[in-house]
Amino acid sequence: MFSILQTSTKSVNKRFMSEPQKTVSAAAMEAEWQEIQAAQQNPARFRPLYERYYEPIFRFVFRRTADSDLSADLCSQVFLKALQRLGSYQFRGVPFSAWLFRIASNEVAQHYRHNSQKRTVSVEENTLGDVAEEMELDGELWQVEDLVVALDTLKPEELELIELRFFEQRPFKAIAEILNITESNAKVKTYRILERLKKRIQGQKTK
Amino acid sequence: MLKPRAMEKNYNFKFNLEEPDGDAIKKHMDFDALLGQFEQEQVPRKRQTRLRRLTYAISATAAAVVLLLFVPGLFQKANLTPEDYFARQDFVNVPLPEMNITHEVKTVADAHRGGVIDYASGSRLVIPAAAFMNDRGKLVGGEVEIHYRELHDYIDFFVSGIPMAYDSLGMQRYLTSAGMVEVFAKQNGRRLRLAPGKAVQVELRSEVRVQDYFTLPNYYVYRLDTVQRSWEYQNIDMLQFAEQEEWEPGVATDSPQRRWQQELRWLEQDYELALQELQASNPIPAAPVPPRQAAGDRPTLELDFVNGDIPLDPSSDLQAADLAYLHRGTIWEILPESPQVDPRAFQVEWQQVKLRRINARQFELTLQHSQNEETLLVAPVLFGEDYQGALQKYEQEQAAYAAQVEVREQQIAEASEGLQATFAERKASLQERLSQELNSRPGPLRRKVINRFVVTEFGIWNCARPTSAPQTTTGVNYVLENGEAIENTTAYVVNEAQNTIFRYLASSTAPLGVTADADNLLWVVNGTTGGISVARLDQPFLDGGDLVFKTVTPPVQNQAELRAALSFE
Repeated sequence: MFSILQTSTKSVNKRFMSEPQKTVSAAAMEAEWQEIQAAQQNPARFRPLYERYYEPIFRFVFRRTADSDLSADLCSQVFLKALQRLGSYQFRGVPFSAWLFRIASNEVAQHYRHNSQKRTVSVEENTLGDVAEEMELDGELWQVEDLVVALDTLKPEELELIELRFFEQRPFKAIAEILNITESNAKVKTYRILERLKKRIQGQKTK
Repeated sequence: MLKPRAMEKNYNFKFNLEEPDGDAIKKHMDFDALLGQFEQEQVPRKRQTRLRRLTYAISATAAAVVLLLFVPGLFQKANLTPEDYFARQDFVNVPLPEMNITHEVKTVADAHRGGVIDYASGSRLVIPAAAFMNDRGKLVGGEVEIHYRELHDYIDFFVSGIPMAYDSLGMQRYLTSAGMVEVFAKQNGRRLRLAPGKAVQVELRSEVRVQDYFTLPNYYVYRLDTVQRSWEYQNIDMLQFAEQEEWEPGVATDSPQRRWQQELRWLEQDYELALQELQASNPIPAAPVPPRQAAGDRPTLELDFVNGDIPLDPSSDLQAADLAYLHRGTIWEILPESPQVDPRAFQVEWQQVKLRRINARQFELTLQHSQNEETLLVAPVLFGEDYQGALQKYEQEQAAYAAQVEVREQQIAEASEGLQATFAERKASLQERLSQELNSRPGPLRRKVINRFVVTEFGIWNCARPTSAPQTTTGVNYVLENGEAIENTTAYVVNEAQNTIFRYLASSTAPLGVTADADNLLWVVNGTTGGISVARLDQPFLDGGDLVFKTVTPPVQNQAELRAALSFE
C-alpha cells in the first residue's frame, strides 16, 4: 500500500513542493565521488572530505545538543564511523554529505537513547513561521506556543523530518537519504505530520 | 519573546540558538588523530614477537605510571555497556583476518549477454543480460568478475565477522542460517552495481538440520545492510531438497537413505507396471469406421470380398474376415493418386486379389492373373441409399462405442485409484519405517537442500530464520586458566542445535546468554596475540561465578585447526 501526495489540497500550500535550498550540481557530486573513491583506496585521502564537511556536521550536531564539547565528541564518532564504513559507500546520485548527516543523525539518536536527557531542538523564529505558513495558519491567530506544544507531541522521527525540512531547509532528496526512506515517502510523511499539527493546533484553539 | 519551556514535555526547544563561529568549530578538528584512531582499529591482530611484546609491555608500564601520577581516576574500570561496545566496533568485524573465507572469482564473458556460473559446491548463479552498471549508473559490457563466497556454519560466520543478531520489531533475536552468500561484481578493479530491475538468481546448495526427514523446514532471505547495521528481511527462501542422486556419494551404501531411495524406486516401478497391466487387461474397443461417399466421377470396382465372391490370395495381408466391418454395398473407388489403369485390365478375367491396407482410407489392390498383374490404389466407398444406410448404422455404432469407452475409462479410473491408494499406503509405510530408523539414531538429522532466491543488490545474503536469544545471566567472571581476567572483549557462543553465533561482551557486568537444552561452546580471541581461549558449558544455566577459559595451544594456524579447536567433539 502507498500513498500519493495530494499537492492541491486546501491544507497544504503550493510552496510545499518547491525546493527551499540550493542543491549540489551533478558535476560537483561526480568530482566528489572521485575523492571518495580515492579515500576508499587510501583513508589518508579522506582529509579533504573531512575538512569540507566537519563544520556542517558539527553544526548539525550542535543544533541537536547545544553543547560544543559534546558536539565535538559526537563529530569525531561520526567521522570515525564514516571512515570505517567508507568501503561500502556507493554513489547514489545524492551528495556525500547526506550520507554523513545520516550517520550524524544516528549518532545523536544513540546519544540520547543512552542518556535520559531531553533531545535539543533548535528553532529559529522565522523558520517556525515557515511551518505555520506551510500549514496555512497565516489567517488564523496562531501563536508560537501553540506550535511548540504541537511539535512537542511528535515522535522523534517525525520531529526530525520537520527539523530537516523547515528548520534546516533541506531538499526532500537529501532528507530521504538521511532518513533512509524514499523521496516521495519523505513528502507524504511531512504532509501528514503537518496535517496532524494543524488539526492539533485548531483543536487547541476551539478548546 | 515567549518562554515556551514550561510547555515542553518531550523536547528541549532552543530558540535562536547562538552557534559557535567557524574558527571555534575548526579548533575541534584533528584529522590526524582521527586517522590514527582509525588505523589503530584496522591493524590486524597478529601475533607479536616476544621482543616486541616486551617492548610494548615496558612502554605501557611506563605510560601507565605516568598516567597514574597525572591522571587520577583513569584506572577505574571501563564499564562499557554491550551496546556501546558493539557500536564502537565495525559492524562486520573480522576477528582473524588471515583465516577469513576468501572470495572465488569467476567471470562473465560479456555483461550484455549475462551468463550462468556453476561452483564446485553445486551452487549456481544466473546473471541476467545487461545486469551491471558502473558507479555513474551507466550499463557496462565486456568481461565482468563475479566475486562469490559461501558461508555455511558457525566457524564461517565467526571468521568472516558477520553478526547474526536480528532486530525483529524491536526484539533482539538471532538468525539461524541455512547458508549465506556474499556476491559482488568488479570490472577493471572497480566495483559494479546491479542495474535497476535486475536480479541475480541464486541456487545455494547447503545442508540443514531437519526435524523430520520428509518435511522441508521454512527459511527466509535476509540482506545485510552494513550502513544501517542490520539484517533486512527480503523474501521467502524457496527451499527444496537436493536431488537424492546428488547426495548419494556421501551416504553409506547400507544407510536408511539409500534403502529408502532403492525401495521407493521399486515401489514406483511396481506402480507403473500395475498401471500398464490395468490398461492392457482392459483394451480399448475398436472404433467404427465412418462410411465414405463415392466421388461420382472416379472409376469404381465392384468387388465383394466379404461373401467370398472374389477370392483373396492366401498371402494377402487382408482376408475376408478383416473386411467384415465394411458396410453393405461397399465398392472400391480408384483413387486419383493410383497408378494409371490400363484400359485392357477391364477385359481380363482376373483370378484372385491381394489387398493391403495403407491407411484408414487407402488400400493397395493387386489384381492377379497367371500371366499378369495390375496394382491400383483404391478406397471403399458407397453410393446413394447404401451410403445413407451405412451412415445411420455408423452413428448407432459410434454411440455404442462412446458408451463402451466411457465404461472402460470409469473402470480404469476406479482401479487406478485403488492402485494409487495402495502405492501411497506402501510409500507412507516405507517413510514411517525410515523415519523411525533415522530418529532412533544418535545425532541430528540433516538433509541437503537447494536455497533459491534472488539478489537485487550486491552484498551478503542469508537464508535463515529468526530464533530467540538465549536466556541471559549476569555476574559471570571471565578468566583464563591462569587466573587472568578477561574483560571487554567479545565472547562468542554457539550451540549444536542452532546454526548461528551469539556475541556478548565478556564482562562481569554484561549479560551472557547460554542455551539451556544444548551443549554450549564459548570462546574469546586475545586481541594482542590472536590466540583463542575456549570454555564448554554442559550445565543448563550459569549461576554467576568464574567461567574458566582454556587457551588453545599451540595457537591455531589455519581454518582446519580452528575447526578442530572449536569443535563440539
